[in-house]
Amino acid sequence: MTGVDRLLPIAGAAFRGSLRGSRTVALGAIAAVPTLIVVALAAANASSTQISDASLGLFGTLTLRVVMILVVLVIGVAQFRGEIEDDTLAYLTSRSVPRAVVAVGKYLGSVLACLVVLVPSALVPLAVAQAAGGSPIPSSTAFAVLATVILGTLAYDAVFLLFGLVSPSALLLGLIYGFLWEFLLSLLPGTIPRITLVYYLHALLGLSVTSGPLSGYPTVVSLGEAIAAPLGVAVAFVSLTAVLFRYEETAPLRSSA
Amino acid sequence: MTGVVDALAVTKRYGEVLGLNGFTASFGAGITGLIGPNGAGKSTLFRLLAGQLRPDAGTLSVLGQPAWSEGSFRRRVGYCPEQPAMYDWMTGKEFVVYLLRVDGYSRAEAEKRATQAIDTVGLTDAKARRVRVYSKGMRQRVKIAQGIAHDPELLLLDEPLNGVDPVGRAQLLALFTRLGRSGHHLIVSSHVLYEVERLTDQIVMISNGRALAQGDLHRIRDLIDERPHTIEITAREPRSLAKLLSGWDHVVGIEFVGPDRLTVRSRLPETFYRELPELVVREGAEISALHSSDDNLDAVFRYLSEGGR
Repeated sequence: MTGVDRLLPIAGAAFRGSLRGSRTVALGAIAAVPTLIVVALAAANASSTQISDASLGLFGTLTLRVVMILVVLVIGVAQFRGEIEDDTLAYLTSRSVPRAVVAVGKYLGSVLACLVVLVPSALVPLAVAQAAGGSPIPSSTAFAVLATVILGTLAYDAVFLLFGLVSPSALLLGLIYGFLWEFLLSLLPGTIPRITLVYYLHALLGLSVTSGPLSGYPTVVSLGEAIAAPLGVAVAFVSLTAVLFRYEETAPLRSSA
Repeated sequence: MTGVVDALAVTKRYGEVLGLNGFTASFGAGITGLIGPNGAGKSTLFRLLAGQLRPDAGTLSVLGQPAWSEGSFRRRVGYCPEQPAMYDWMTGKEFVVYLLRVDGYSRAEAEKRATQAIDTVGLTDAKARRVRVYSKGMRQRVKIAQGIAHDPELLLLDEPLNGVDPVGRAQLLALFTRLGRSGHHLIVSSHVLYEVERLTDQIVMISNGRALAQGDLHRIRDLIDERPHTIEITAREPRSLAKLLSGWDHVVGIEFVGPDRLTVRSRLPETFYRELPELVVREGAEISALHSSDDNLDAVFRYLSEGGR
């Protein structure tokens, strides 16, 4: 059996383990907020343009900058930190599977779990807006939204996977990264926003969507760069996680002697 | 050292706390008991052996390989950790199948081996239930099942009988004995000493992160015989008795531990037990109880851990 064959059970377990219990309910509730807002607008007899613009605007602000960060943070960090704190990682590290395979398997499973939550969170509001009589949303816009969700999840999950491996305060670190670094730095002038991921995600939307709220993100990067940057971050952080996992101790901080 | 597991001056710290402190021991073929009180360093040693922790100093090898390494040799090792945590959302069988598949077995082979292992530990009826509803004893059984399912050469069992009911204990002890007889090597830790005694004579005694003694239990008892034994005596007039006993050459210490009790330390316990009845008859000393705390494994451990070595 090759390392790739071992990826599947690990990714499968990571996927199933990520979507369980009260955590899933909480993440689902967060993910449903954009849809609920669009439903509320439709119920309030907002105009068709208002409904469509709101559904798209909510993606650029709420879904991309809050919902995605929270969902990916909780799921991504838990891959290693949850197991270290639960003290279950020994079942994997005592096996013959290479640790790099464990890291990549967990990453793939968690990405899939995040997408199960985030793709509906991003696309259902658009569908609801259409169903409620909103202005037509081009399929290219919906595709750009989907691509942004996928790229954002790939990149953020890789970052949070690493945080979960190396830091006992991974959640706090993730919150600081997601809501201070990504938010504050993206507001600064000049080239500083280019060290945030959200810059490239916004650039992808700005370059792909020709009209409406998502078309207004200014950028100096090309579409190729907007796609390559999150992918590069994902590859770099997953690789770093795989390497560090080989040298990382995985027992809880206060181990019974 | 060329044992199944060799530890040479292994030290492991948790910040300021020493988990292992220059631990040196060699675990040979067959079943070896690792005994020591809670906090002695048993689980730290197992975590090091399982590749979960890295030694801060010293060398630790498992089946000839450095313990802190990954690779195919780990397929020759089974590990049953002490902690009860598992993937609670899986069923017992899913748990075992999953770990076998992670170890490289095909789904069909993993299913077959998992079924066999679960049957072996007596969990057949509960294999389709979620682990979260398992009792502590059932958790122990499924942990053991995942440890033996790949038929490892070496099985590391960290307090494997914790929480298991008496009938289950007997069954699992029989299983461990069977595995030992069929050529597997087992390292079994416990703080319940009579369990280890029932399993093997080969022991390693650990306390405060150090190996206090290792080898055949009887040899360790012989070691004790060369040292003062402690005998607790309940007598009507302990002070008079103490005065009489203090005249014996082999008595090296007397301590009053209650209004009618004293402990006597003798370098020649056999002589002591032979001469005491004569003293009672000759002097008319009234002794209502006599207890040697050195007559079981617990006492051997206590003796060594208190610096008697």
